Amino acid sequence: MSVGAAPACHGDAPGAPLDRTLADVALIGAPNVGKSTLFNALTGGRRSVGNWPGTTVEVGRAAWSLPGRSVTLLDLPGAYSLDARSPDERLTRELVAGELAAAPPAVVVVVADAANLARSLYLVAQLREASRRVVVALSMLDVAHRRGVTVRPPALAAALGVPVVALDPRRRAGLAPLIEAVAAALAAAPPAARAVPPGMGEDELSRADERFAWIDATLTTATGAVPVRPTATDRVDRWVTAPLAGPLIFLAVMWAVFQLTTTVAVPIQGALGSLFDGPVTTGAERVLTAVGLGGSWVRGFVVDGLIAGVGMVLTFVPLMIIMFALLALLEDSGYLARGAVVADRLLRAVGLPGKAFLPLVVGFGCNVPAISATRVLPGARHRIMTALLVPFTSCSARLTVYVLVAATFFPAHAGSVVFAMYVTSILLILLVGLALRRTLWRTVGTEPFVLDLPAYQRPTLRLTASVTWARVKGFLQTAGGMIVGAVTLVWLLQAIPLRGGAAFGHVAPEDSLFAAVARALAVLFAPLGFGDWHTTGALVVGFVAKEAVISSWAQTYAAADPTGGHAPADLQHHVHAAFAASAGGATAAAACAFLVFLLAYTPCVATVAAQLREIGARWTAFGIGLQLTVAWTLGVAVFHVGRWLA
Amino acid sequence: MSAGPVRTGPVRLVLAAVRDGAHVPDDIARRTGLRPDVVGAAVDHLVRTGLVDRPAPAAGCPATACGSCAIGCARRG
Repeated sequence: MSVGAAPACHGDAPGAPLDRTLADVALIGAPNVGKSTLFNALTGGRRSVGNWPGTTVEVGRAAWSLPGRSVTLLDLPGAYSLDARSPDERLTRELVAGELAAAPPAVVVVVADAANLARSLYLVAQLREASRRVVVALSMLDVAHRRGVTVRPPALAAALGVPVVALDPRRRAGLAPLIEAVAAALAAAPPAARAVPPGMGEDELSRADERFAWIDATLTTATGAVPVRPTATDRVDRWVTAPLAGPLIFLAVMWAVFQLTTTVAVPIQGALGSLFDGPVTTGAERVLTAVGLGGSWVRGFVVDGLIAGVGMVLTFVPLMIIMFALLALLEDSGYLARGAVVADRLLRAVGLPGKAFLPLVVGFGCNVPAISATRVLPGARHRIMTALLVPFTSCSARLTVYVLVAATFFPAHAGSVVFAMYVTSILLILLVGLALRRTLWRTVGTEPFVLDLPAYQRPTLRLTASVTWARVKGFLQTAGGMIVGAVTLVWLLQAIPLRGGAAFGHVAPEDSLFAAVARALAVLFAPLGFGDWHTTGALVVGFVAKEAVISSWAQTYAAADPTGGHAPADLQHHVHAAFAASAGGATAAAACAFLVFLLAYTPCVATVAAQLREIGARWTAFGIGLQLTVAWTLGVAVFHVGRWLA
Repeated sequence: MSAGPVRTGPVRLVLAAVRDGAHVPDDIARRTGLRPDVVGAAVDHLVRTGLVDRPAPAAGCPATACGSCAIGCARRG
């Protein structure tokens, strides 16, 4: 809006002195510039506040005594401009233009924040497009001074063409000069409007451009150059957000995180596994024997089911603690926010919507909130597309399986293998996203955005501990809920005999219903090198939750070898033997294919439920099909390329 | 005081820089040569007019989905 174009804006003809004993003076300014503090200081707090008739917007008003006259001082709602983008701005615009009263305010006092002068002067630029009495009340000079910005009020007044009064309403400093300036403005003729180059009213962007050019010129005159003193954050950011160095540094940091996690956690995990394998199992056996259930199916459920399955998942708690603590340190320091800039470049490079990085980054923690986070995206197509990509982000649940498999097949390079899975996840997101753009959504555009990056800070122990605990608690809740459910289901299926004539609960695992179903599906995984029914069964159970892959493996092998141990090393031995048997000599290739399949196939039922809620049944079904197709195809390719290379 | 004829003013320069991949005010100021305070104000203006978006930083929880976010929960105490 151009004030100059507004009707009834000028109660007084330009050049004619105001001849009224009662006039309105309006106080306007952006939110939080001290406008209401100034209003109270000027009027002694004798304000009446109420909604302006016909609106729900509050306007304060009070009598204000000036030398020789009394005026009504209006405290208008906070507004950045007179463009009427909110109810507050609309009312401010209409009151300033005189559309809601008999006459427009005789004087408009713009409260300007000296520390953010460029923002505050937009209102002045708009008001000065007409012949209006304007006074600028300059607040926050102390804050500006601390930031190294020196504002010269006389020079500013000359550049703006209106009086400028420096004041501090909190300390009641500068009120008398303001009163004098307003009284003088009332007594004088309104100044001429500022010169606006012809043709600037064509469109809103042109008008904004002209106003900011005027503001730029004004500030250069009145404040000089803003001192540019690069902070430590600026210096670090030049590297970590740089187009080439940024992604490399990000990858190096994440590699260090996974290397440190696996190096430190694996020995602790072994010790914890020995605890479940030894005292916990022995104690449970003794208790069950003491109550006469030693040889019953209850013993199988408790020892080979709950302790073997849930216990194995719980051995990953130290790993989770270390990884979550390291990520919390990076997050609290402010570094992870820089990852957004790095990720955005990658996303834009393949034409994905820039804002998609938000839910995608959340997805590396857990896919469920990430699906919900797609609501931040502006269009339905963006939301659907991103919700289809989120399952390819490698959530922390998958980490447990990566670590087990990496430690089994690549013990010397476990950290690097886990890191490679995260890089693969990023590449999958980019490639699948690109494929969707090229096929389904050719017309999806990108939306420009700006980030306010926080300054780097020293991580605090309290926040790091609190965040780590919150995430570990989530892991434990999954282990206590979903995994116990999955373990129970697997145990039931393993307890039902399908051949051999054994009784319920006493069936050999390979003769159970579980084995029969898994064996029937195993043929699908033979081209990937792991067509073994134990592994197939674990992957099917993994639809419930990815940690259940481990619990399923653990209880299947525990039931098959009740005399064997339940420690991670024992499980690794069984898994390695199964892969060696099914891969025809290309064990490592099959392990890689398994990892890739695990990364790409449907994360868990909770993610599917979230997708159903956010994008509907049709797209959810499409997504599951897409995940399975990508996972299987990629698994086959990895196995055969790996076998050929070997 | 007149700023003179404006063909590509601060707002268009900032918008072009953002569309070109500058997402941090400091980077925008470097690319455009504008004063940092004018860049900040122009960015605010573009965000208000809906031409540019200003999402929350990636590491934090989006407002619509942060019920289970550990960082958000911890910061809320």
